[in-house]
Amino acid sequence: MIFDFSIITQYGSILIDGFLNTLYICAAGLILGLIIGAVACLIKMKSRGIGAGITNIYIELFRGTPFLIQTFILYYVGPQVGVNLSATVVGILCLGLYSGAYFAEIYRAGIQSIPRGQIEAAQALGIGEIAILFRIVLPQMLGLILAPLTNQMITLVKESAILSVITVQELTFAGQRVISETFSYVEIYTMVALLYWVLVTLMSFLSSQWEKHATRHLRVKVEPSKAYIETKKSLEQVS
Amino acid sequence: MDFQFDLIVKSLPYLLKGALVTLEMSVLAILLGTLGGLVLALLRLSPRKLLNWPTRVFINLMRGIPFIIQIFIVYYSFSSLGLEIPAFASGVLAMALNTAAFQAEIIRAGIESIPKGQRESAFALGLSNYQTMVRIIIPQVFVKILPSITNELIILLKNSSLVSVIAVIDLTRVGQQIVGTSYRPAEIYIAVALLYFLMNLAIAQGSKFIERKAAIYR
Repeated sequence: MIFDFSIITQYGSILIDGFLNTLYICAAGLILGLIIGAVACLIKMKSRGIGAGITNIYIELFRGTPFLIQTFILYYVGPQVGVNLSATVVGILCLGLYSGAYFAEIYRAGIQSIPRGQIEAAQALGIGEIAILFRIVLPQMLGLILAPLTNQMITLVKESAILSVITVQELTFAGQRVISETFSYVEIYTMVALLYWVLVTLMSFLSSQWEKHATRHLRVKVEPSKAYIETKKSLEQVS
Repeated sequence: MDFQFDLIVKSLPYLLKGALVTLEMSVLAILLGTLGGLVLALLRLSPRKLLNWPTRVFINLMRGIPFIIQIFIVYYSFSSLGLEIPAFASGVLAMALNTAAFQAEIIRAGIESIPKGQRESAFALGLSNYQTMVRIIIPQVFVKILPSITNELIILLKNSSLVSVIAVIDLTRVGQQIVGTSYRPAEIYIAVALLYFLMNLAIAQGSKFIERKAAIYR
């Protein structure tokens, strides 16, 4: 059993192309998911009847079923109802819908973790709802939701590998193409695994840096003022 | 588009057989994976670098590589080594390794959340390492990590659909076969999705039941 890694140099460009495609598809799916999640969260928190019900069904279905089945339904059922989309578009749509369900819950948990007193005080001061959202809730929420958001982003990147089953031209599919020519399964899949791992680790590192920046308001050191210290000292000297 | 309900009714026996295979794989993977997760968690907590660092590397790899790639690597590694193991076994192995890594982190976080004072007082009272673990730490950890473990089990069940790519005849594969002969993907895949959803619902409800029963030990 010899691992022939020289194949990597020959076919590396195909893998890199697939990697760039994965980046593009994941980025598009992520943005779509963030938007869908925001819309779903808004509907769920504001509406009381049908809207909230439909959103809840959407979230439960997309969190309770395998991603592979979701892609099958969106890819194979489309032509049956007359909708013909390319594999890449279906892939991005799938990623967006799947992650949107999780993002909606993350947003909801973030919004509900802001102390209600702050929102009530802002309302008492006459600050409008949109201003409350963007100036009070969102800045504090950002630091809290970055960790679960990153987790879900990493899951999104890993789930994107599944899109190769519906022939989306991403990294796993590129790897399978190379394997169909060289039959070196283990070397190629190891290389593909390494590329995914690099992407995931990079995302996780960048996100932790951003989280440190976004939660710096929680790490401010509050020291007693000079006047306070001197007053205390003089009182101790007197007593 | 007409929705052929009778097709779903006709294929239900086959789908249920596939669901049974899915459940078999998942149960085996859960048993092996939980055991492996416990071992990995204890290795991860060990102060010896020789045990700690390889475990950290393994867990990091398992959490950073897509599961479908893990399945391929496990499956094809065996044939490159010359061993012919059935797809079912390598699917279970891949699932067990994956869930062991995730459960190790959950268990480790649970164990580290038990106040150190309990361990110290246990040593002060003369209990051995093994006794502290088995009689004091682990019962509390079990109740604490139940929600996270349920989450992980649901993820495991959803991951099990991926072993269909190495031709294990699970629920997804049966669905694909029926679609291949009937050319009605809508009905079949929606039925498959509902079956997975019901299985996940059962896991979630079962876990709520166990949580209620175990809450008295909190």
